[in-house]
Amino acid sequence: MTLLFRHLAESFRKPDHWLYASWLDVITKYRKNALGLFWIFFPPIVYIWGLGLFFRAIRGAAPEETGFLAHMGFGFIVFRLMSTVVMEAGSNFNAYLPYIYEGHLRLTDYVLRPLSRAVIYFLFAVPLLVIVLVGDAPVLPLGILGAILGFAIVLVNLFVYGVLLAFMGARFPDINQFFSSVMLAMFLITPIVWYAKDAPMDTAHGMLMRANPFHHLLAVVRGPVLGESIEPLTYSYLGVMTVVGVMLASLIYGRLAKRMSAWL
Amino acid sequence: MTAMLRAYNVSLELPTEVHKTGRKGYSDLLATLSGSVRYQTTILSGINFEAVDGDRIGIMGLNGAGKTSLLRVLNGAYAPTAGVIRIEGVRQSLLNPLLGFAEYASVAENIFLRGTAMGLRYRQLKAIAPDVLEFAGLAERAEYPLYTLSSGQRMRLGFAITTAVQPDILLMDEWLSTGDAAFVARARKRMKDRFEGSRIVVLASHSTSLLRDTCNKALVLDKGRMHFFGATADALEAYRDIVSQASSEERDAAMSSDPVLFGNTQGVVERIRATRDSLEVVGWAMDDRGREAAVVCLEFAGQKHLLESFERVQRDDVNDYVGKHSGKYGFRVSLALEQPVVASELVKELEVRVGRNVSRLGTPLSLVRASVIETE
Repeated sequence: MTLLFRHLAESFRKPDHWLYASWLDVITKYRKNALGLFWIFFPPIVYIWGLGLFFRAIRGAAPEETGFLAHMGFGFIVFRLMSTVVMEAGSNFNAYLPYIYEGHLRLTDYVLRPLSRAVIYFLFAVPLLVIVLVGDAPVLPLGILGAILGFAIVLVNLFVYGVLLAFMGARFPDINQFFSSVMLAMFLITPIVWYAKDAPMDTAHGMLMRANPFHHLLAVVRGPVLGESIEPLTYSYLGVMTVVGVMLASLIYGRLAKRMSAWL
Repeated sequence: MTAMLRAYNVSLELPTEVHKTGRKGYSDLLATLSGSVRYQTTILSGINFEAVDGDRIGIMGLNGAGKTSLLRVLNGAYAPTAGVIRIEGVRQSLLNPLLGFAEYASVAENIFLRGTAMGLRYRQLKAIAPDVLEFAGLAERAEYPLYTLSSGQRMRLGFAITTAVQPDILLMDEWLSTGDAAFVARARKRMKDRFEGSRIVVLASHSTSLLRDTCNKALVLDKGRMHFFGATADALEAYRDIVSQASSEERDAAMSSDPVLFGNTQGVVERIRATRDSLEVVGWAMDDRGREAAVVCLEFAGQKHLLESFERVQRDDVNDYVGKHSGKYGFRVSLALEQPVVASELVKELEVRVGRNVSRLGTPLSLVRASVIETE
């Protein structure tokens, strides 16, 4: 077993710190506000019922698009999960530098903490999603199982690419600048405020969408629940992406975990 | 199982960013735009030592000598560039007492946060949390957010949590300076318990008196190189050499924070007499080893005057006071003045120090009885 998986197993055997700390990170953020935890529900509300209704109106609300709010809401909260993890990943080790200096070198903890923070935000948004699904779209009960499977693949990828980005960010903080600029563009080329079927395979924008990993990750979570078709390409894309990610991450982690603290 | 800590020829190099500004120490607006260059800098080299069960090792060195870096190598934060560290036993380092605190979490929640960060389990912490609050004297404030605590209270909380466990190998940076006298007494007692309970302690500190009292061995660092490792008394000698070779500013800083470093000189200045062209100072002094002063240093008007030839006076009253049969502990020094001195200013700024040699002067002698200056 490589160092990465040894540390990951230890992190799961002793999850006390990263789990408790990520929960507190989320909760305490809202303590200073008068409305408290209400604000955690606010962004999904704005996106689903605010922007969602706006974009539906712009699209002219064709009759076959009754599920647009569900489509967009689902897309938004899954994309938010992915983009926060990707944008924070580069500064993960830097943010927990005092812990590293104290001799806590199980670096997987510092990747899992922001990841679990993002998952907690996601879970808080799920009840809102349920409301919108019930009101807006036919849900496939069996699809929920598929979505959970897809979600697991998303988490695995966020973890392994989170590890890679964390190492890159420790050595070259430049990637933080890169991702904070590029994620908005990513949001727009991912089918969230529009449908994947609007970007056929043989067009330039279709190819751009299919090159975008966030499109495929989102598709395997949202598709099964809303009954949106998933292209075979998505499965092979994610298969390759996951295998490459796992191998690269465990290689890089084994090589650099001990040396990384010197870069910071 | 026995605890063991060994360093074989350890060295550490770290990359340092250097901002090129063209001219050294000078930066204009345009130069701020220039890029920075990474250099490898040697932080530590030639570190060789061994600690076995029961050893208490002090790390001495001036500021920037690499004490904290060495502790970070020992706790695993930095992998040595060359050499090997071998460790047996559970390590715990107490370098940063404020690690992992969250401002908007309550005091009680911070105990869990910090405790789990140190590797304790949530269940364990549930059991010890009341004790921690009690020890820190914050039992009534458990539900207050952390930001309402003063910095002293935070230190107390951090100290109480970190010292709640007993490791085999304890790595510590400085003695934690913590709040009010009552707490300091409690903290010292607990530190002593932890100290005695641990099988190996490595303690970095500027305070040589602390190291002398608590450590049986010491390691002296000089600009990252290991200068000495061995018994504490010998290490203190080696450290003194480094300090006396350092710049006068550093020396004064080391001495004022640490009067014991150069020994406690006993003595007093009894009479100061200034004439138009000479200054005479009379008193008595004895160095930390109970010997007569070999050098007297008069410092005033920003200048040091070192005098090795002066009159030594047999003083029966002093001999009785210090319990010596013989020895000329009294001194009378006179110094030719190039220009007359102003009496009132002289009393304010005159410092008289004595010592075994020029580089080992003690703390200034008391001028209490000489506060009135005699002039002609």
